[in-house]
Amino acid sequence: MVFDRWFGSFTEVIAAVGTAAVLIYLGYAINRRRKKLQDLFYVLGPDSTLMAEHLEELVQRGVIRPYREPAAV
Amino acid sequence: MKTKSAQAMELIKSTAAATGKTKNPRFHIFVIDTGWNAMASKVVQEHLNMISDLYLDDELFVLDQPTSIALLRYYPLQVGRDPIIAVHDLRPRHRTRIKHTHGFRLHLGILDTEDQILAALRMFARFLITNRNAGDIDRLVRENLQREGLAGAIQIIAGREHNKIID
Repeated sequence: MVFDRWFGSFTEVIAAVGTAAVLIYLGYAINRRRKKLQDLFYVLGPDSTLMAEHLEELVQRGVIRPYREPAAV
Repeated sequence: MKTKSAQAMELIKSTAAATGKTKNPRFHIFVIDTGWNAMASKVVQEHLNMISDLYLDDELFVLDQPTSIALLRYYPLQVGRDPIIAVHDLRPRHRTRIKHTHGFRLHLGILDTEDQILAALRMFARFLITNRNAGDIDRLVRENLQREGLAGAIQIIAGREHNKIID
């Protein structure tokens, strides 16, 4: 009877630890992939505005011009 | 002599003109490429005309190699992330009092294989043309491309097309 009670507890502990491990791993995997997506598709913020404004200034000054598809030969 | 795509564009434009649509730029799109990632550069160059034709109403600016190198010397944190396709929203929704340029950048230089680069380019192209008239591009980038939120987490686990890029 004591053994049954302990066995039940042991199984529950293993199940709980296993579930926690799976959830932690899932959280880690999602976080890792999301970080890569955030790096790949980077949303401009106040910290990245300098380069953006620099590019717009180059456009205004005519240093860079709109792309034109080369004509077929 | 006009290219075939230019002829096709004129046909489409004549139809669009009949429906009342006119050129109304929403984005400035910049391609910055120093050429260090030869594979990514090749993929971008091969699809430049397609990008230009897809976003006919928007302005596409392609920086040549010397200009790209000169620019990134001022922004060293971007070195190695190029080819970069930067999209600037000309009609942004400002969330705070600090007004800054809104938009997003696609950092193709961080990808390893040609398949990944093509997949990212496809996602980018489809996203931009689908949400051209959306109000808040930043929020849509976070939801649909960065997969923020619980729905995004489920999509990351469920294995959507972006897993090809990030695995």
